[in-house]
Amino acid sequence: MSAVFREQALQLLASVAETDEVRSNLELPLYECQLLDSIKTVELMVRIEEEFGLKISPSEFERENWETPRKIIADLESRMQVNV
Amino acid sequence: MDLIEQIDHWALAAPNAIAHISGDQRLTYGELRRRSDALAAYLAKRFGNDRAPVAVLGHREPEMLIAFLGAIKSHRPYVPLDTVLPQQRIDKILAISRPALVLAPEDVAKLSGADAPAPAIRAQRDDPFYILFTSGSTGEPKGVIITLGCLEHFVGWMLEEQKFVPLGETFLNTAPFSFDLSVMDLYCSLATGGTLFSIGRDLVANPKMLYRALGNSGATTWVSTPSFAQMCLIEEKFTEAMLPRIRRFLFCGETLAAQTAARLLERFPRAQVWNMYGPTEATVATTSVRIDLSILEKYSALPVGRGTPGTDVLVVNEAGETLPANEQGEIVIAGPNVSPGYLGRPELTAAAFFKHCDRRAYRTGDRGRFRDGLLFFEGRMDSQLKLSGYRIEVGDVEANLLALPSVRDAVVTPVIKNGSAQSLAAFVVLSSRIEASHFELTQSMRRQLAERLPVYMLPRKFVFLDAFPLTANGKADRARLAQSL
Repeated sequence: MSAVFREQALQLLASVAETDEVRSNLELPLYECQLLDSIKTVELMVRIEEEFGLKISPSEFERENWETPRKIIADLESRMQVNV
Repeated sequence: MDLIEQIDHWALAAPNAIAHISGDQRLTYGELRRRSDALAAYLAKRFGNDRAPVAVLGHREPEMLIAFLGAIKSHRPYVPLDTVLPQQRIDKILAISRPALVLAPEDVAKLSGADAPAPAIRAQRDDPFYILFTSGSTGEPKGVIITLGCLEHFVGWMLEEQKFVPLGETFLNTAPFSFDLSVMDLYCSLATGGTLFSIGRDLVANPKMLYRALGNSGATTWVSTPSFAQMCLIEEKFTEAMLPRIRRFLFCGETLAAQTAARLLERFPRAQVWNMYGPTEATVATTSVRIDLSILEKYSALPVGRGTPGTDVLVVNEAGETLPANEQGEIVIAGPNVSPGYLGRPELTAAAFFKHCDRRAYRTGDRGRFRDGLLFFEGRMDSQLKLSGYRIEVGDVEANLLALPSVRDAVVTPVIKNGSAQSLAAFVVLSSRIEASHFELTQSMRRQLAERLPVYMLPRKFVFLDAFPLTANGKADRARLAQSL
């Protein structure tokens, strides 16, 4: 997956989490730091669908897969590959 | 029959009917009566008749219901507290309410085991039933006293309007018991022999588990803030197939967007959608309206409805004169559902409560107008706001920020997106320079504040400044700060 995609995904996450820290610290524990919560997670799902056309079903979503920026990117990349 | 007798009679009529489900825990009406009677007997024996409240600290455990009823049966109001509250906030509430004791679920389990009849003395209509704490503008939470009469008026109206099927309903409980929206599902359920199905924090945090729980709930009556339903609607499978028994969605606590109502009606064509409005001081909700297609076609901003029978809902000007239809003013509520006031705060009580035609009346501080006989809520007259249905006084957050040693000055403003408050932003002047990144400082502020305030009151965004811009009067220029976001 391209570096451009990763950068776009991080930009989206930074906008939802309201901090650029997610771009520089890929191991940031997003839920522990309360940068993401239930509502923010859903907001991120909606923005990802708008931006990348990638539909994530909340009823199939595992929170552990989105614990850090690095995990989110990995999850999105694997979903994109499945979608190709 | 008073409300407690009404609840207790299900223990005789249907002792094995399930009163409450929370995770793996089940509580029957038979157990609820037996154990709340035993707890009441214990409380009466240990504390006599001093009528001091009982604080109940937990998170949706069945023991909380036993404790609420046990307190009332021993002629004491209860103070519901959720374990999500930070200790310092709990300490403030306990200092104000001075309870006879604080009961955790494990205490209730121990104290309600014996078979003992409840004391014969019954709560009267004017006796406090519960005391619910909300955000106060000076940084001190304020306790709203709700009497048995207030609650009976509210529940009586709900039963009359919604025609719940006795022993036939399952109510979804999404709000913590420390939030007055939960009073709607809790007492409408108990009064009709229904099952209360609690959605705990662990489920809300995990969407996969949340939808599974919703699917297994068998819910017939949905009670939540609009935000919670909006979140659920993101899932395409959130339809009648997931909740086949659902008959009605009841919303209160914040503005219901027309789009949310329209999507629910589309996905749940056999269910009704109701919009309700009311402050905690007037017992959960005072107005209601069923939102159908004709209402959706006619109004882009939805009405909150008509007042309950026996209650006056007025829109008044600054002089307190009732305004004609279509004119905007302050919403005033008068009637038997209005609280007698705030616990131990006569000055706040005198400022907000008064007599109207010999009945208790409350100035809501909400702006609104009547149109076509329906009330429309149009925002606040002060800086109070709602986030996900939670009522927040900006002054409360500021006072708690100012209490931190590292903070010299603080201003808090809502972050507005699409016309409504989405989160809070804090502008902070530090007492001294701190060598740390903006992110580290923000996290540190949130951590410190989280020891004093519940999570929903924490600002998401922090802006650190050397000084605030000032107005001509020398005060922090809030408008300029808000514009800078």
